[in-house]
Amino acid sequence: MAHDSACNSSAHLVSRRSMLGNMVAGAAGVGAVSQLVNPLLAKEIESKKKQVLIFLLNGGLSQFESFDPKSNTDTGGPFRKIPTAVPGTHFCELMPHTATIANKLAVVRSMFAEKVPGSHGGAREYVVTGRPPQQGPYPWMGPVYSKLLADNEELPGNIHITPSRWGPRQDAAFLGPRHQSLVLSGGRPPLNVDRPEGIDEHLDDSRYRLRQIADQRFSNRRRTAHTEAYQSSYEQAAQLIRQKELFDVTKESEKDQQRYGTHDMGRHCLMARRLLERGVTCVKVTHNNYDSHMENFNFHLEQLGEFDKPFTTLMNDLEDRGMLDHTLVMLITEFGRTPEIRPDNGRDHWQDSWSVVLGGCGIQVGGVLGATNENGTEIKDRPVHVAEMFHTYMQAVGLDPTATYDVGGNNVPVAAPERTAVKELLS
Amino acid sequence: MTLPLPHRIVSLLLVIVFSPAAAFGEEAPLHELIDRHVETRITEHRIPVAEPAPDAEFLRRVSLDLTGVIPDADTARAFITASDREKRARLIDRLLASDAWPRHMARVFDVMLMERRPDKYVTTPEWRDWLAKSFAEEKPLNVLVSEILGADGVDEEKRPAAKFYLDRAVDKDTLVKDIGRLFLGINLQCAQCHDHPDIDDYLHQYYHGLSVFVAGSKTFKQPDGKFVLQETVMREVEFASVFEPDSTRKTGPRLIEALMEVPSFPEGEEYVEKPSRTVRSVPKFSLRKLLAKRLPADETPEFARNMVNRLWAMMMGRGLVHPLDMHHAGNPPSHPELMDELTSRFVSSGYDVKELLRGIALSSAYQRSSLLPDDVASESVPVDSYAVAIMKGLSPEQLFESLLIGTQSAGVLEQQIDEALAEIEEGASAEQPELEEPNPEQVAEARAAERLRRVAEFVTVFGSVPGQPEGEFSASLPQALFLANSETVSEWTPPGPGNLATVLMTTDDQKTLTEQLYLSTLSRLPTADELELVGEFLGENDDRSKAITALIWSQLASAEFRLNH
Repeated sequence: MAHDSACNSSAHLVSRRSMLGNMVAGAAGVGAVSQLVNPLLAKEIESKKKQVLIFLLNGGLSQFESFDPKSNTDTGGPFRKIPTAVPGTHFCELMPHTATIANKLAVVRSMFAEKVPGSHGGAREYVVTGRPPQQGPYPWMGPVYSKLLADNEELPGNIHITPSRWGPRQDAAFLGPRHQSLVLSGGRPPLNVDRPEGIDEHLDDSRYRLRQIADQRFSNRRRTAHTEAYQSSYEQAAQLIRQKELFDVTKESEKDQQRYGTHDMGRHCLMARRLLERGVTCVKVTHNNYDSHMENFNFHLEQLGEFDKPFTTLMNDLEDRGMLDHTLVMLITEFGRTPEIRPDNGRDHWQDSWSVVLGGCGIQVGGVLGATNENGTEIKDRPVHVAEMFHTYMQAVGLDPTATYDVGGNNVPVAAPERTAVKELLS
Repeated sequence: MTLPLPHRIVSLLLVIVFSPAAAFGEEAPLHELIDRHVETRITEHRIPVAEPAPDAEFLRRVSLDLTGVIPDADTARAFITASDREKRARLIDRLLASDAWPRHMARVFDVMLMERRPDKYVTTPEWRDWLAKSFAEEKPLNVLVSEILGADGVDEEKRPAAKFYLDRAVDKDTLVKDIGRLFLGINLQCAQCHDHPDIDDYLHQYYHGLSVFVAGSKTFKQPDGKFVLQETVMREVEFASVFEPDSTRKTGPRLIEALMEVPSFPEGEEYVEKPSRTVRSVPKFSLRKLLAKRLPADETPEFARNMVNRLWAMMMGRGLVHPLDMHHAGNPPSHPELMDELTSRFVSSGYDVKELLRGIALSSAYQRSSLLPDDVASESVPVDSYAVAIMKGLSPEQLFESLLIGTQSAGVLEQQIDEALAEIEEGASAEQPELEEPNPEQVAEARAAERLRRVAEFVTVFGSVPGQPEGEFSASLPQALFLANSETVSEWTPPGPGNLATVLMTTDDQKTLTEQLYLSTLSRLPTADELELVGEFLGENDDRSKAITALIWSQLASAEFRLNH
């Protein structure tokens, strides 16, 4: 691989060996890394916090124009397929950069789901919660990771970088507002992060101090569950206001800004890197406009033209920084698009088969799982249900999908109990 | 280990045992009934008990619970200093008789029954007005719910009642789930595809029996564009467990165990209006009307029990049955006899909400402090013992109204609305210069909408997920940022026309100033420490206006303000 010689960081070396350890462990039927590798090394591996980077291609990415091209068939459309870094695996020519890192990705070409009510919204909910929306609402992945991986952190555990006009959503369901995504709408800082007029840092500090004194007096001899959560929300707020530059992507080098591109997607990917580097547990980047009922090919030309390069740059940067070993990357969309091409060159919604891509965090990369038939009208190998993928997203970062939340006295499983993870994808 | 029995309990018990009502076999007042059962458990389990809440704590709590807003400073001072021994009972009566009570109940029932769903066919103001009017005229709760369940949305006056159905798009599964949860206290969602896996009482046929009532109903678009309900004839539904897909069963309309008869008509004569594309279909026998008659009724005790439990939770911070939609044999009430007796009292009172709330508010259990007894760890006081008052988060609406009262910023809000409307008007007249002057009614409407828009901001930040019940109190980063820095709130804290900061700016006496600050925001007088702290803070900071702004904010952002304690 091209990057091997360039990357000598010790973290990177450690992680390579740890992966090996994991695989041996799997084969021997022993779970914990620590039982197999040098204890010191194991400690280092285990202490490495898991992180998650989610790309949501919103509207329904066409599998034909991305990871499952069917060029020269009746359904294939005008684009060619191109070879990738993995011999024998082809992507659509709209993703030339992504093709160069195919060896860092696991492509699943056989995702499917039952039809659910609510069109895009319903299908999206199915993908990000692993439950059909009519059973919900269940928490989205970001809040789940925030709850299970970052419950006691000072930084927000779950930040969502969105196109403009996408405000905060109540995506945490029963996990509560504590875990709701912190939204950077249009990549801008969160709402209300600027102090009101006339309040400088000094006055702000003193009013927080007064507030805290009041809380201390009030909490004394009262049940603390409520007051502790309340106090910590102000600590987080004070911290965030002081670290406002966390959300200032122009603090990154000019060179990096050029490498990622100055359009929104470029800025948002660089922002994602910045947040992950600072230790935010889960970062989600939403890229819009894949709902191509008309002019599917022009839309994908334009959208993937924006997405392809910064995505690839970010993957390479994460690897170079030794972060890919503990960062799960996923590229998801609510459904695929029809094999049939409409007279106005559109493709409609299609839940019978579409593609998902994973990388990092010990995912078995460099291969393709599942397959559709010659012209992509049906799955012919290893169908993968959306709920199985949800299990996989959990297990990949070391979480137990069969664990339960306590919701008002009821035990609610983290993932749908009738499904299990896709073992082929996990190390 | 034995704990000494607190004297307090003994004396309370004596009072109850020898109260004249009990001695002569008359029906004891509701609050005595409540206290008898709550005290019995406390005594049996030797649970440490909190002191009675001080006047200020009681005033704030009961004002929030019955009118949705904290008292203003004058009310607080007057109540705290009054020496009238009956002042708590009088206060409860006054709050229940106020205009604010039905408006607050309308908000509570809106949130309970619609769970913050976005408006679809009936607007929230129309629906809340209808609810408020119902509470103001003391409509029995069974009648109110019967009007909701029997609504078809045709008659203009009763149309808001159809919101429950219409704004759920008359979707069968949503309705079955929500009718079960909200009106019967049973969550049948997991019984949709099979008997409930964990709860023996929740059977597959209950779900489908309930679904028969609404399975024939759907929306109909009238020629005037208005959506109403229509109904086709339905007698039974067929269902099969996912575990045994081949053995199908049938059920007619059923409320839990009670299976109901549906009259049959000769073929072709089932309808008043037959189904067609242009006319709203109306069967001769409406299953929805049957539901409206039989569910909120004495013969379905689950209804009264559920409603009593929900009203109890609204006041006490937790249901006797918890969670609220989990009534079943495996999840008994914390106080089974109390649950039964309150339910039968509620039924015999004619489903009188006000009487039930009055009884709860008068009880010692309600009037206890949220302060744990000295040297007692919170773990040794079970939450559901009601030995210590349970703290509740303020709802988004309670928080909005209370911040306004606390900062005395009604005038500032009016000004904010003026500015917003002026901006809108400017924009509109730039586009259409010859636009007519709006009439007073339109202006009032626009003002109300601007106010609602600001309440909606609070609902987005502090409210529950649409379609979900209000959860337990939870604090979040965006909430803290909102209270700290949002434009809406940060214009209420600094000096503005007639608001608290302006009043404090002109108050030279430090003690008067501090008292005014604490009475306005926290409905109580400051402690000696707090008097000193405020003095020090004002002494340290040269910019008096800024110092006062910071002081006010620190009160509003405190846990004491955020929680109904």
